Formats: sequence, structure tokens, C-alpha cells
Amino acid sequence: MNHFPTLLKREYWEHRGGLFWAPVWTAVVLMVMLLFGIVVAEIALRQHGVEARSHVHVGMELNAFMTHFPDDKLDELKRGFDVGLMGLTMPLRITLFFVMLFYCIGSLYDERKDRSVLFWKSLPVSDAHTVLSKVATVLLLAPLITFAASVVLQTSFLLIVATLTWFHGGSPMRMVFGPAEPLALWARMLADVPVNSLWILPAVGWLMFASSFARGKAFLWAVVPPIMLGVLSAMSDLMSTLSLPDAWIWVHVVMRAFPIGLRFANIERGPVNIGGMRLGDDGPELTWSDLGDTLMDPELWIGALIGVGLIVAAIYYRRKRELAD
Amino acid sequence: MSAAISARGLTKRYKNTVALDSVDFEILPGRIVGLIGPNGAGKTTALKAILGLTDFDGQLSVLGRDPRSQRESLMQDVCFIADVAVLPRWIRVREAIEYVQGVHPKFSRERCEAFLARTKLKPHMKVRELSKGMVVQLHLALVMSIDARLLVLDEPTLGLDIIYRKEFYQTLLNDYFDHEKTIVVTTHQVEEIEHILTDLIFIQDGRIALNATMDEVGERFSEVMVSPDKREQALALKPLTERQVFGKSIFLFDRAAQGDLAQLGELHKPSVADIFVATMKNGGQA
Repeated sequence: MNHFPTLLKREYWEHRGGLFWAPVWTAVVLMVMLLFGIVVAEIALRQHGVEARSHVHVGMELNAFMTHFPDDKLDELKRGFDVGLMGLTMPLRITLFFVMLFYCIGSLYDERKDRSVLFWKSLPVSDAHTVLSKVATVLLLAPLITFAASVVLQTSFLLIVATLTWFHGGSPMRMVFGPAEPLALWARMLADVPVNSLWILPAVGWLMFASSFARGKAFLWAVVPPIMLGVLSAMSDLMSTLSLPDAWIWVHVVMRAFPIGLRFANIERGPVNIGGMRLGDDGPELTWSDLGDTLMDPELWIGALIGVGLIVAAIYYRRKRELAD
Repeated sequence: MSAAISARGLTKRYKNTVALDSVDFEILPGRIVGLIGPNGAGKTTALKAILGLTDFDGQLSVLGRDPRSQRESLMQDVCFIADVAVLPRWIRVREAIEYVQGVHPKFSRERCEAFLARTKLKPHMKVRELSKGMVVQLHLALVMSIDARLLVLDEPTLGLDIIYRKEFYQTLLNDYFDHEKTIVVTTHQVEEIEHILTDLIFIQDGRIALNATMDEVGERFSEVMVSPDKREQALALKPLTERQVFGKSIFLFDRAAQGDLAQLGELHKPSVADIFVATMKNGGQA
């Protein structure tokens, strides 16, 4: 296994665009939008005075940092920062979903299509190590880079809001660095990386299996069968025959063939989770108890086992399959 | 010395065709073997089997290993250049070097850099920006910096212009080959490699049509230029082929007595290409 770091580097070199630049650019665009929002809020303030409603929300209204803020509402700010900082990472999560999806579909197919598999296989690296390096890239490297981008984005956000407060004569300590708790949030986000990876393991397994198995048209192989399964079960009333709700197969099978990280497991018990974040009443949250619930959910482990089986199948076809059409 | 490659009853069936039909051969260490055959004869299938890139029936041992189940360990001692376009297009020269260094215990970075210093390749260049000739230079530099025991070349110079083709084989012979190493090469341009080969294997319709050392080939095959009055006499000696040049006939003989042939006319050593064409025309009955 001493060549494993080299295999990970290889994946990073090939997919630098998706793994690194995609989250970076998403974060840059978000920052630009935030700065634009601040300009809009400033203009509204100049025109309409203190009572202006700028409708620029980042978990809370930007006006809050430009005007005098009453002491008895500071608790609301704390909550606002939690939701706002979490909400900022939503676009990064969506980017990560697309990066993971296309990475997996191409992972074992593109090399056969462009014939470079003949080069990779001319070197003493086993099919198992090759496939596992790709699994590690999509389940650890990609989310960790996105986590780093989130941290940079959230830090910049806090600094900008602090500057804004100071600029308007408020106290950054009282308004920003007191109520915001980024360190605790980052701990939860970091803990969510392995939990979410376990949750999407069946999706990664399925897509990489399709990528390894397909002789041609890997994208269709990856996407059509799960959706067909959902459609066929709806047409055949399979779910009502098994006395399950109609949506069951979509929620528990079809959606889990894609790395969405949508945790419907406790859909009966409460709100929906997206990649660890729960859509609370006033915005996305990520709590320790949500992470714990996910880990206690048998569905996580059943899915993970299926994912492992599919990865073993992907390794088998990496050895077996020849060049793609 | 035990064989570098030994095949017994090597068979590969695709859905509708038999690519290799129970083939037997042995390749000894320290040889440079040309595997020659028309398109679809089974050359590439044989190489794929040797490299563990395809399943097959029968027995095949490469450097004492079964390529089906031991590809990873086999590749420590085997290098392989398929035709030119297999280096990934996104990779940079320095990344390719770092990767091979990271995964191959017998790779020498110094050697590779010394080879590359003779070319116009620079570390930051991407394969997609390189000409075909430069891609081959890079691949060759990577492969020649690995201390392997078996080198497999499948049409390595396909699509290259003549300057690179000459240089390719020259570099291989001067800087790489020694008596510990074995080279198996397939090519369409047989005249390019005939002077470096030690052994020749012709393959046709999934069977071996000829398997001989170059010395044996030299002894067995002769070409005679015969004037029209002696043509009947020559035909009586059962030549493999006849072709007409300037009103004279050129006959190719296999295992004919040199004394008989000398009486017919001027004796030549035929080229491998001529022997190949004659063998193929005779349905592999050389």
C-alpha cells in the first residue's frame, strides 16, 4: 500500500478542475454575491434610513450589522450566525454533488475509452488499489477539500460582517465574534465528512460499478437503471403490494444510487437532512444529535454494505473488461 | 535457461471468432522476437494475454507467473508500450515521472531525466500538447528507465515519421537491450526491425505459421533469380513463390539444397517481408 499516496495524487492531477477549482470558484462567486448584497444594503440604508428593509439575507438581515442592535436580541444573532454560516455551504454541497457524480461515472470508464488504461495497467498497481484510490478520492479527498473551501468562505464572511459592523460604529466583538461559533460548527462539519461518506457509499459503489461494467455509454448505464426501477415499481403497484408507501422505493433505493447525501432515513420522524444538514424551521442546521441519529440508523449500514459489494464488483470488472467502444 | 514466455495450447475465443487457436511457443531470455502477422491474425491478442489484459484458455507462463492472476507482480518485471496514443492526455511530463517513480520499485528517475534531456520535452508540458513523436519519446524514456526483464512493444512506431522510427529502435538497442532482457515486438513495418531481431514468429489465423531464429531463417530460405529458359527446372524444385522482374523470375525456396539452386541463377538472401508474404500466400505451410 506504500504507493497509495501516489495513486491519490494521480487522481488529484487528473481531476484538479472538479476537486479543487470547482469549490474555489463556487466560493468566489458566493463572496462576490455577498459583497454585492452589502452594496445593495448600503444604498438602501442611504436612501431610506434606519428603517430600510434591504431584503438581503445571510441567515439574518444585513441591516442588523449597519444599525444599532438591541441587547435583548443578541441571542437571535447567535442563531442567525449558525444558520447563516451553514447556509453559505449549501452551494458548495451542490457543487460537490455534481463533482462526485461525474467523477464516479467517469472513474473506470474514461480510461478505457481513451485507451490510457493500457498505460495504467502496464504498471505494477493492482486493480483493487486503483479502484480503492478512486473511492478514497471521492469519499475523503473531495469532501475534505470542500470542507476547507467552506472554512475559508465562512471565515471571510465573518471578517466582512465584522468590518461592516465596525464601519457603522458597532462593536465587532459584541455583534460578530461573540455570537458566532465557527469552531464548534467546523467540528460538526468535519465529523459529518465520514458520516456522509458512509451514507453515500452505495451511490459511489453503484456509479463506479456502472463505470467499470459499461462497454459503452457509461452515463446511461449509471443513471437509467435506478430511475427505471422507480418508474417500473410505480407502474406495477409493487409498493402497495408490499404495503409500503409509494415514495418508499424512490427515497430508499433510487435516491441512494446518487451521491446526494439526502438523508430521508428519519423522514417519518422529522424534517429532511441534506448531507448532514437538517432543514430546520428557519434554515439549515447540523447538530451532533443529527449525526448520531444517522450513525444509529440501520439504513446507513445496510447501504454501506451494499456499497462495499458494488465496489468489489467494480474491481472485478476493472480486471475483466477490455477497452470501451 | 528457463523460458521467459512459454505458451501451451493458448486459446482465445471471441463470440464469433477464434483469435488464438491452441498456440504453442517458447521465448527464451535475451532474445528479440518479432511477432509478425496480418491484421486480425491474433498478434495483439497474444500480447494482451502475455500482459494479463485478457482472459484465455490453455497454459501461459510469463517470467514464471500466470498473467491472469498475477498481473500486479508481473508488471514489476514487464514493460509495455502499446501503440502511441495510450499516455493519458491530461498528464504533465513531471507528473508522469512522479507517478511511475511512486508505483514502480525498479524505476530510475535519474535515467529518465537523462533520456528526456536529449529531447525537447519539458517537465511542465502536457501530453495533449505534444506531437506523436514526442509522446513516444516520453513513453520510451519512462519505460527505458525501468529495469525490466521483458519488454513488450505493440506497433510502437505506428503513425510516427521516419526520423522518430529509426531513433526509436536505435535507442532501444543501444541504451536498453542486454542479454538479461527479452523484447517481443509486433509491427507492420517488418523491414524496419529485421536487422535487430534474433527470432521470428509468423502468426496467421490464430496459428503459428513460422517460429525460427534468424539464423535458421537465413539457412532455410533462399531467393534465386532465374532466366526464362531455366524456369521449368526451378518450378520442379517446388518454390514457395514466384514473381517476375524484368522478364526474369524470382523464386523463393524453403529448405532447398543450395547446390541445386546455385545452378539456376544468382542466389540472394530474401527479406523477412518477402518470406512473410510467401508464407502467408501458402496458408502458413512454410
